[in-house]
Amino acid sequence: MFSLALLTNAFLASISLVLVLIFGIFLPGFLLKRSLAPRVSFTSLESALLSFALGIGIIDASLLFLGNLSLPLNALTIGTWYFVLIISLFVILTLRKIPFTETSVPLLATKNELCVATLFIVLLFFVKVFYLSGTILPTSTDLGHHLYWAKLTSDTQALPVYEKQEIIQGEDGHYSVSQPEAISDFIIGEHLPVSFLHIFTGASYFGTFPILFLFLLNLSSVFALALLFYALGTVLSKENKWQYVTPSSFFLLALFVFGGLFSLASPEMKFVSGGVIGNLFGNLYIPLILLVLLRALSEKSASLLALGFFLIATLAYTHHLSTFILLFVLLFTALSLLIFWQKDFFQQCQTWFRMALQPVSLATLASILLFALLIALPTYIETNAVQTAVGAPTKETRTGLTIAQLSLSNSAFKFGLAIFGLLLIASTSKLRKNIGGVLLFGYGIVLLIMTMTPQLLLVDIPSTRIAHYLSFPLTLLALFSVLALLEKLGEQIPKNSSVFKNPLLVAGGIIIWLALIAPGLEDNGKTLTVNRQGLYVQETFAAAEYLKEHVAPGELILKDHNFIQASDTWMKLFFSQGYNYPFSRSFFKRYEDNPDREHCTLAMIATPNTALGKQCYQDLPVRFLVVNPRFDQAQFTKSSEFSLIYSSPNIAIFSVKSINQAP
Amino acid sequence: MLRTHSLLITILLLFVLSAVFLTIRHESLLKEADQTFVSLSYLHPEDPKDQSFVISHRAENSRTLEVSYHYQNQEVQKNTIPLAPHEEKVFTPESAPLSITVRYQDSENQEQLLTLYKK
Repeated sequence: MFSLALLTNAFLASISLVLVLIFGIFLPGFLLKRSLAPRVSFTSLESALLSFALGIGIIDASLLFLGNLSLPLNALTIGTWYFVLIISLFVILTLRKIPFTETSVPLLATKNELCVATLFIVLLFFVKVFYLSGTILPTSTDLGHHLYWAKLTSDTQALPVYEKQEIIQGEDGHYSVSQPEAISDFIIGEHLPVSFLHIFTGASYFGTFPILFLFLLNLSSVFALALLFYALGTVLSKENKWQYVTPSSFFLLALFVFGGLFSLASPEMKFVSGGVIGNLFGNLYIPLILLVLLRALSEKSASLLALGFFLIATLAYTHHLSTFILLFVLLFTALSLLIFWQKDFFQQCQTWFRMALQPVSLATLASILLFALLIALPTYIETNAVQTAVGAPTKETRTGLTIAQLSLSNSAFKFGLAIFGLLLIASTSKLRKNIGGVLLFGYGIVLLIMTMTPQLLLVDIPSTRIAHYLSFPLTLLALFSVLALLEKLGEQIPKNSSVFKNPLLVAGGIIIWLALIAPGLEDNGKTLTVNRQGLYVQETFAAAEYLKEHVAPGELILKDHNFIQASDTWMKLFFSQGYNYPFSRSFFKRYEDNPDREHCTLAMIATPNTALGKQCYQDLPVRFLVVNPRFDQAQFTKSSEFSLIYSSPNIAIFSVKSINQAP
Repeated sequence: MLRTHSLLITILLLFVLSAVFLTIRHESLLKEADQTFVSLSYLHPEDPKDQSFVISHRAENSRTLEVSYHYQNQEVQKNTIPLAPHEEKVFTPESAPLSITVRYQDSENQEQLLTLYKK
């Protein structure tokens, strides 16, 4: 299986991806960061993360701008635009006499800390890559859906119009395919970076680059969380005069827990292999925005505030749910500040308001507003997505999770420690007077309320989806509790004495570590499953290739989503004839849960010889059916209307004898 | 400088290594799978009279397949066909059978049965 040619190809493909990431995302992002915040000091990791996040924002803004000017979105146009953009940023830096390079602040103080961090990073890569090695094939349903739009953008060289056609029943009782209708589930910002990478690397959408990009997003989110915790640690330990627990400990502990222990289950690597693009963007941007805002407010830096505005705008164009969650987090942090700080809050607000009125932050905000007004608004604002997320919960799945359900997905120990952390901040005057403490409190408490009692905040979103966002502040609060306890314990040890001389302290420390490590390993263990789907992927793709050659214009294809073993949603990438092409028999539960939903897609496969099945075939120009012959064959064999025209062990294609040609 | 940026350099190197490893893994998983199945399809599914069909053999090793034509008078005509690795063969039955069946042993020595018919 292993050959030199394969190694060379893999190396070249990886290098080309890394070069596009560096010159297409990191470099423009870095130059923008230097232009907006030339005098702010960053650690090199912070600088890289911010450059990456800003670079993605630049891709979204650039492609939206060029696309709205009706310019073709190809390598030539985008490349020329990027050349001009990079030169302009260089000129701005030169005119403002800002050096291109920046002096980084060291993140870790000692060599030992550096060694431990390196070890944790190696562990992080090992665990995550080991998991991905079993799930790297293009099988995920969501990723198939998302990549359709990314491919459409690069194929048509134009911004995609998020529309789909559905099977509807008219007033006369006949079924037909509807006119294209707007979709609110997808946001353009989550697809444009993928299209951008394809345009410049030329890599196949069926290859590894989409998953590698999502992997990079996940890695970045782990580092963003560790850096946010580091920033919290800096603010908290400085103002509370902690002597034993340093900001580096905050960084290292977060890196170990997010990167090594709880690093596979949702919302981490499972979201990577599952292609949950929007959430992965949210998981990066939310902690990064909180980090930048925390630093902006504590350092009173307008430049950092400007970076924060740009990042919030990028998130708004990338993922609606994450933006919604972020707004609640910011609102509750402000509310917590008001409650905990009272009069001091208004004094601080005046300072912050003056900071917001500085030219750099004001100009950034004005540019974002102008872009929204003149170029493009986030698509979900134009559709009804916002209204559907606000209001009293409309389904049982949206009425909140119980403590037992939350403990199950977050480990009871972690959950308990997090609650302790919340109580500790609320009850300790030094912590609740500290902006870092209040931010951590606001981040945790709002997501806890949104997950457990969403009706209080009029949130109408599936509670399990919000719970994925909750897992991050819960972990941060739990880790904060551990470190606060360690600091308190440290203070009890007489000076010039070692912690190892106190057996009780050593035993306590070991118990805490084991209690943290065990659920983390269990969490990883549950997610690691051997899943060899290569054969199924190949069979599905081979069938799609066959159909592509034989389907005529105006003819429809119907495939089954229940029993086809893998990659059925990826079939649409072969045809590029619409988001719902081929039409799909959805999960059976969806028809049961929603009796008003059209049932043609169900009847045409499950019961083609019933009155409904026959009517659907009469009304709709369905020419081909793609099914798993192990589950759906007998109903077609019995009928004289169907021919079996393609057969492989797990895929069968039937053709319909007489079809209604009118689309 | 090296110390300040060492974490970043480590991350970059590990990312490149991961990308190379995962790309190789991806290719080898697909290649492995592509060598394990046979597909059977009509050459012109749109023409009810044309019975020409294709056997696509996706395997590294040679394999013998048994092709049977089933006729209306219950007569069965069997042929044994050797196929070379990755060979694709087109067949045209002399008279139109009711169905065509291909029988072969897959890579795990399980018997597989594929059928085609036009109505």
